[in-house]
Order: sequence, then structure tokens, then C-alpha cells
Amino acid sequence: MMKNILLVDDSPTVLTSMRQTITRGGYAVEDCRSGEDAMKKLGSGYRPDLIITDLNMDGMDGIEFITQARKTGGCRFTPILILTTESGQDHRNRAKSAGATGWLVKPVAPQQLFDVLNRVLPA
Amino acid sequence: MAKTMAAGRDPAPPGTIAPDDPIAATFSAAMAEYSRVLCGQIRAASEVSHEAATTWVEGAGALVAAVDALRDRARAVAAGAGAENAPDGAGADPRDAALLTVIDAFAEQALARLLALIAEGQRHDKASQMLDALDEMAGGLAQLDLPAITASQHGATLPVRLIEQAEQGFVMAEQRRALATARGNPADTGGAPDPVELF
Repeated sequence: MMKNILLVDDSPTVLTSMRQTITRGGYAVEDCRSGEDAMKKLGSGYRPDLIITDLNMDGMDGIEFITQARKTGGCRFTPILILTTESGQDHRNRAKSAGATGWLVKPVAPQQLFDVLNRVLPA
Repeated sequence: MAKTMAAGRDPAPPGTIAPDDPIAATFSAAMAEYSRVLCGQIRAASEVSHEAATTWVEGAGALVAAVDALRDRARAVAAGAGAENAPDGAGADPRDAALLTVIDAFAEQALARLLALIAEGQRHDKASQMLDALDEMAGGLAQLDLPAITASQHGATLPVRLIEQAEQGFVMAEQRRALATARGNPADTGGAPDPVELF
């Protein structure tokens, strides 16, 4: 059974880049351009095996999205990774408190990404 | 200067321009124009960067599909040749098998390299955010009101405060490194945490 990954990023370039990379790893990918859209998708019943979200987005940012997603039934224990340009420890701490599973600084190399996916995705 | 003295006010301190001097108003208006043009150029650069990144990622994606198709076709041909030869017990033609090995090796290397190039497209996001920060700083130049600068401590420290304000948005290691270098403290970057961290 192919694992489903939800990408959330307001940059179409990043979404295209990540989609290309992740699908090569044998995963199914859905993407959203905002936290609000991602919440709608989760609200419709879509349950990804893992979520990768940007941090800085217009409207609902990554931290708020994680906070909301964690309140959604079936997403409480879904691994959520933040993929961001930011590298500051204070932001990482906020993400961790909100319920993020991990933190990746852009750009992330394909093998590096697959290593992380293998570690956090349930078997 | 002569004008302010003629108006009965105190002359401006040496090296400064009186708040009501027309030169100050001209300078302020020129700085506002400079800021608008600079912001416009930065936004244009951001758009060019975005278009280049999109072309890059989509082009590399198309190449990935092409290499995939080449490998699939080679395997199909080799498998077909093998099936034809199978009744004789000869298996696949050694030349087909050798060619398939070469194509497989090429495809594996090309795909790995292309995927790495696609991932590099993520750097666009960094460049875009840096340009946004530059845009904000350039917009701040419009606030360089010469009359205010010459008339108050608040105005005199405005450029430094613009930097301090922008610094709050310098969230990337690259930005903090550039700021520290500009301030003459290249080693003072606050460290670079691990790019991958699992909580």
C-alpha cells in the first residue's frame, strides 16, 4: 500500500520540486497552497500518512496549521515535518511545542529526505 | 541657511540642514522616489528568480520522465528479445543485455543527479524571502525624512532602527551571517543548528 504524503507550501516551485522528489521515492502526494486549504482537505476526511508543511505562509502559518491539525480526528499522531528556510532554535522550539515531529531546513537533498521519511513513517 | 537666519530662527548646527530648508524637502522627495524605484527593481528580480526556478524544476522534471521512459523502453526491448530467444534456451541476446546494463546505469546516475537539481529549486524560496526582506528595507528608505533627521535624535537614528527592524526578519543562517559580516563580526552568527532535527 502506497503511503500518502500531504505537502503544504505557498510556493508552487517548492511544491513542484518536492512532488517530483517524493513521488520518485514511491509515495503518493497531495499538495495544498495554504494552511487553510490543508485544513479543508483534512476536514473532508483525507488522512495522509505524513504531512510536510512550510512555516511561513500567508494566513495560517505552519505552527497554527500543526496546532489545528493536531485537533483533527485521526491526525493526532500523524508525523508532521516542517520544511522551512528558517534555522533558528526558538522557532524550532515553537514548532516542537505545537506538535511537529521534525524540522528540515531548505534545501533538503533527496536522500536526506528519504532517510527522514523512512524514520518517521509508520511501517 | 541665510533663509532661516532671515526668518529669525536659530541657524542649523554645522554640517546639517535646517528643517525648513528646501534642500531637505527635495532630498526627502528624491529618497522616496529612489525607494520606489529600488523596491520595483527588487520585485522584478524576485519575479525573474521565480520564473527561472519554475523553468528549472519543470525542465528537470520533464528530463526525469524522459530518462524513465528510455529505461522502460530498453527493458521492454531486452525482455522481448529474451522471450524470442527463450524457446532455443539461449535467453536474452548478450548485446541487448549489455546495452540494458549501460542504459540502467546511465538512468540511475542521471535520475539521481536530476533529483538533486530539482531539490536545489528549493533555494528559490530562500532567495525569494531574502528579496522580500530587501524590499522591506528599501521601502524604509522612503522614511528618511531629512527634516526629521536633522531635527531630532529619533530621526538621526532612523537608519539603524530600520536595520534593527529588518533584523527581526533575518531568520536564515545566510542572512545572519551576512549581517554579522557587514558589522565586522563574521564569526558571530549565532551558530548554525542542524538542518535536520527530529523531535
